[in-house]
Amino acid sequence: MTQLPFDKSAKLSCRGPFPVARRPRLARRFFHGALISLLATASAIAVTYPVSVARAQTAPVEPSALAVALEAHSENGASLLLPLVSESVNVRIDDGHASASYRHVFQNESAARLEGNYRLQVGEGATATGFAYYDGEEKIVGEIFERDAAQQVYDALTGLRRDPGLLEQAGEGGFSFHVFPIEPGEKKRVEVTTSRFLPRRGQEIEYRLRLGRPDANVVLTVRDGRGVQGLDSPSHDLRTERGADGAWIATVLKAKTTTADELVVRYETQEAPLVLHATIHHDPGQSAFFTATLAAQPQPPGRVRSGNDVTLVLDRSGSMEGPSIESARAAAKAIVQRLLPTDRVNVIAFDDGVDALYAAPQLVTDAVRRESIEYIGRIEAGGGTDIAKALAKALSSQVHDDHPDVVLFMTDGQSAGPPAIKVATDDKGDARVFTVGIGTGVDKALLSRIASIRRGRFTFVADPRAVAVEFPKVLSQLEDPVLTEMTLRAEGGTIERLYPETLGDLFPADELRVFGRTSAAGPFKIVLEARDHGTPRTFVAQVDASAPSDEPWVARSWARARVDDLLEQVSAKGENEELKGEAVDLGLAFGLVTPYTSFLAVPESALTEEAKNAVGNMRERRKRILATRTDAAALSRLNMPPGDPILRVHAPADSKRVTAVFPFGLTQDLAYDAMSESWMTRFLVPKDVADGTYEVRTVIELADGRVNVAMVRYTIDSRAPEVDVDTRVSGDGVDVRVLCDEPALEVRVASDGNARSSLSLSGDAERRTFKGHIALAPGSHRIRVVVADAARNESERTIDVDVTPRGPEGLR
Amino acid sequence: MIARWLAYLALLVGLTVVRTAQADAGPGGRFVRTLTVYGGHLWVGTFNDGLFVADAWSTPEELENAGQVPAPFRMVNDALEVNGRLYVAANEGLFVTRDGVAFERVREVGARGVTGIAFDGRSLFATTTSALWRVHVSLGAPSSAVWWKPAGSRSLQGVVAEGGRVWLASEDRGAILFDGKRFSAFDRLAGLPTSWAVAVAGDGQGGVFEATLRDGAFHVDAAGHWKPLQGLPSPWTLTIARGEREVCVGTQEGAACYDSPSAAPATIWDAPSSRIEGLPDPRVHVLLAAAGSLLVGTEAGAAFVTRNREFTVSAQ
Repeated sequence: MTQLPFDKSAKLSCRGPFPVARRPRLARRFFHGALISLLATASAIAVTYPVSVARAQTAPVEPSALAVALEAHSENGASLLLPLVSESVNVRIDDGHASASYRHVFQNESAARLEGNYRLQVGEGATATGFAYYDGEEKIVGEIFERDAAQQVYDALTGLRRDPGLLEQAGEGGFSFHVFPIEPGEKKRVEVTTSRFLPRRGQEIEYRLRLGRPDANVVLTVRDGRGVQGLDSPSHDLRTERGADGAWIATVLKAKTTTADELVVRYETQEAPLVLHATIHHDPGQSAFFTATLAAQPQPPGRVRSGNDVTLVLDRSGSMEGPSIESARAAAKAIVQRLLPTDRVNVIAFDDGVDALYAAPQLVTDAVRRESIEYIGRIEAGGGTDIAKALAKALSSQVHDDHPDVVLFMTDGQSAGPPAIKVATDDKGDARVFTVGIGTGVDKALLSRIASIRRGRFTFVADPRAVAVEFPKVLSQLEDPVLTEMTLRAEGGTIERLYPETLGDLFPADELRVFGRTSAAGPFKIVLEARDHGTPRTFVAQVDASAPSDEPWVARSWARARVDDLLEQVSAKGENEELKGEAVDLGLAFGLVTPYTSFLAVPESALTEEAKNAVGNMRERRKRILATRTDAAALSRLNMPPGDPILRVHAPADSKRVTAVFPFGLTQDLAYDAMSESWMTRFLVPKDVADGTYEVRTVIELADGRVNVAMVRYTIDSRAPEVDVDTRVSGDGVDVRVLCDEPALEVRVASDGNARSSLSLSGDAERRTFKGHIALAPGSHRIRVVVADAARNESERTIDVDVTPRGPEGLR
Repeated sequence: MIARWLAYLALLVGLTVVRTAQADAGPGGRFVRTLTVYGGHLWVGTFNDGLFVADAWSTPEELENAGQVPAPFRMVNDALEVNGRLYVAANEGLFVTRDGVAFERVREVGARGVTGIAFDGRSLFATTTSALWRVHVSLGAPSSAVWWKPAGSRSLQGVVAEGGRVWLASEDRGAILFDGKRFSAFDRLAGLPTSWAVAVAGDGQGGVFEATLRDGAFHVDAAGHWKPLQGLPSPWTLTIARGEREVCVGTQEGAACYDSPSAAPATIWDAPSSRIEGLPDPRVHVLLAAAGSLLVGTEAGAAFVTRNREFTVSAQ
C-alpha cells in the first residue's frame, strides 16, 4: 500500500512520470562486466579529468548550470564533464516560433569505458521533437513512444549491456539522455531538435542560445509574415543575407566580448502595435490548425502609472537555499525600491508556514519601504512548500478599495495542486496573481493555472541568477492592462479547441498567443473582441483555410498547447487515465516529448526478441493513434463483454445534434461534455449479443446544417483465451512460459494463492507469449496461472511443481 | 398501463410487485442506477439521464411526478447521504449538494469516472476506475488521501466501508479488502471463480458479499473463504445489498433475497428465501428499502415490492 498525502515528497512519487527517476545502474554494470580494473580506471580518470574540464570550460561549473553537458561516470562513482569538441545549431524562426536542430560531439578522453548523462537546457516551453545519437558511425534515430513502455524496453536492454538512447523531459524546457557505453577515446555525437515560441516585447522578438563552445557553428533562418527588420545581435557579430525565398539568414561569426557565452539575436516585426496576426496549417482532409497573436507595446518611459496594492510573496523553502533565495531577495528589494508613493506594499514569506510583514498592504512611505527591504533581507531558506497556504494569506489580506490588487508570487518548488487551485478559485476578490517560477524543478503547470485563474501571467526563470533579466517583465505587470475581457470568435467559419481556454488580460510588452482548430474550408475571419480601458475594441485577422499552407510548427504548437492545458488539469485535479491518455496520444501523434512520452533510439541489431516485440507493439500503437486521430469517434473500450462503455465523438461544441446508432437496435443522442471537449454517451451491450465485431454509426449535425458521419468499431468477446503453460525449475524457483491463442492483457502467476510469491506480466494488443520467473522455496508447490484477454475474459491453469534445493556447486 | 401492471402481477413469484412506474417524463422507463433517500425525498439516479427527485413515492403517480434535477452530470453511478449532504458519484466526477439544488464538484477526488461511494461513519470513500479516494468529511476524521491501483486493479466498480475495513469491487481483481494498511485481492488467482466483481456489500462481520459479472454471487469471509449464493435467477449479477435480515441480489433476470447470516446459519445460501420477478425490466441494478417497501431500480424504471414484514436495506 502506498498512501499519498498531498505533501511535497509524496506528490513527486504519485505523479509518476514527472520526476526523472534514475536507477543506480552503474555499480551493477561494472560489477558484472567491467572490462578494465577498478584501479586502472580510477587512474585514467584522475589523469584526464583536469584536461577535459580545461577544454570544455574555463572554470569548474556545476553541470546543472550548463546549457549542454555530458556528465560521465566511472566505476568508483566519480563524475566528470566530457569535453564538448564540436557544437552546431541550426535555427529556423517562423513568425516568432523557433525550430532548432542541435548537433553536439563529446569526447571520452579517458582510458575507461564510461556511462554518461547528456543534458540540454533549451528554455521555457521548449519541446523536443527529434532525437538521434551515433554508435560509432551508425546513426540511431529515436522514435517517440509512451514513456513507461519506452522505459521498460530501455531497462530490459541496459541489463544486457546494450544501451539504447532514451531522451526524456528533465524539468521545464530541459531534456536528458542516458548513454552507455562511451568507449575510451570515442567521440559521442548527439542530435536533438526542439520547438518553442520566442518571447516578444512589443515588436521585438528575441532568441537566446546558451553556447557550449565559443566557436559554435550557429546559423539562423528568419521568416516572419509580419516583416523582419533590424536583425542583429548585441552579443555576437553576425553575417546576414537574404535567401532565395526571401528569408533572412544570419550566420554567427564571433562573440563581441570574450565573456559572452550566450548568443542573443533580435529582430523587430514591421506591423503596427495591437494587430491580430494569424498563421494557418492545413493538411488535406483535416480541419486546419491556426495560431493567432497580438502584442502590446511597452509603456513609454516616464509614464506615471496609478497606484497599486503590491503583495510580494517569497518562497523561503529549503530548496530556495543558495542562488534562488539570493536572486528572489534581490528582485523583491528592487521591486520595493521601484514602487511609487501612491502604491501600497506587503511582503509575505512562506515555507510550510506563512509570515507576513503587515496584516494588509501599507502605503509606501519611506519607513514602510525601509521596513520592507529589511524584512526581505532577513528571509532565510528552510522548510517545506505550501503554496495554498501562502496564496490564501496573500489573497485574504487585500484591502478592497479602488487600488488594483497585485500579488507577485515567487517560488521554485512544487506543492499540492488541488488545494492551491481551490484557494485561487474560491477567493472572490479581484486581486491579480502573477507567478514567477524559478529553476527547472518548478511546477509550471500549477503556477500557470493559478495565474490564469487570477487573471495574471506566469513567468519562468530557468536560471536563478537570471531573475534580473526577467525583471522588466515582472515589473510591467504592475501596469494597467492594455486589453481586458478578451474573447475570440470566427466569422465565416467555426473555431474550436482553443488553447489556452481563458485568454486573460493583455499587459504592456505582453503578447497574446492562442492556438486553435477550424473546420472552415475557405476564407474566414478570426475576430478578437476586448475592452481597452472600458472601451470595446475589435481586432480582425483574415485567413484562408483553402490556400496552400504548410506550417507544421503551427499544428505541433497547437498540440503542445493542449498538452500544457492537460498538464495544468493534472496539476489541479491529480492525474487520471483520461487526461494522461489524451496527453500520450497527442505526444505520440505529433512527436512531442512530454512528461508522458519519450524518444527511444535503439539499433535493431541490439534488440532482444522480447524488446523487438515490445518496440513493435509501441510502433503499432502509435500507428493506431495516428489512424484514429482522423476519426471522429472513439469508444472507451474496444474489446468488451456486456458492460458500459462510453462512446466519445469529437465534434464542434455548437453542433446541433450528435446521434449514435448502435447495431443492437439502440439509438441514442449524445450530450456535449465540456471537460473532455467531446460529445458523450454510455451504453450497455445486452448480454445476448453474439461475439463479433460491430460498428456504431455516429451522425453529427453541424451548426451550419452540414452532416458528418463517423463509424467506430468494437468487438464483443466473451470467450476466454486458450492457454498453454510450460514450467521449468530454474535457480531459486520456476521459469514460466505462457502461450495464448489471442493477445492477452495480463498474465498473473501465484504459488498456492500466496500473493507474496507471485508474478504479473502486462500484455498489450498483440502480445501472446509471456515468460517470467517466480521465486519459490525448496519443496512442492501448486502454482496457479491466470490469463486475461483484452475483454477481461480469464483462463486458469494450475500446475504442481517440485523445487529441489541446489547443491553446493550449484548442481541439482 | 393497467394491463401491464396485471402482467407484472401475473408474473409474480415469491414477492408481490404491486406498483410500477413507467413514463417518459419522470424517472419511470429510464435506466435507474441509484435510489437514495435524502432530506425526506427520494433521489433517483439514472444511467444516462441525470438525477430525479420525488417529494413522495408511496404511489406510482407520486414517483412519476419526480422532477429532473439540473445538475452538472448525467451518468450517475451511486448516491449517498453523508452528514446531511448528498454525494453523487457520476461519470463526470464526485459531486455534493447541501440543499439538493446546487451541486459542486468534490475537488479532493481529482479523477472523473467515480464508480462508487461509501461512508464508514467518519470518512467518505470513493472509487474511480483506478483509485480509491478517502475524503475528509467529518471533524476528527483522517485527512483526504488516494491509493492508486489498489492490489493492481485498474477497474474499480464499487466500495463498501464498515467496521474499519473497506471492500472494493473490481473488474480485474475481484473483491479487494483494504484493512487500512494493505490491499488483498480475492480473485481468480486467489482461487475464487472469477476476478470480475460488479458490486460488494458488507456482511457486518468483516466479510463481504460479492456480485460478479457472470459467475453469480459469493460470500467471502475475512479469511478469504468463500461460498456461493445458490439458486440465483441468473449468474449474471448486477448489484447486491444487505439489510438487517436479508441479503438481496439483483441479476439480469430478476432479483433474489437470502436470509441474513446473523439470523440463520450459512446454509441459508443454498437457496433464496424469496425471488423478485415481473419487474418493468428484469435487469435489476439497485435495491433500496424505504417507506415500508422495497424499491427496485431496473433498466426501464423503478418498481415497489411490498412485503408483509419489515425489511430494511442498508445498501452502503
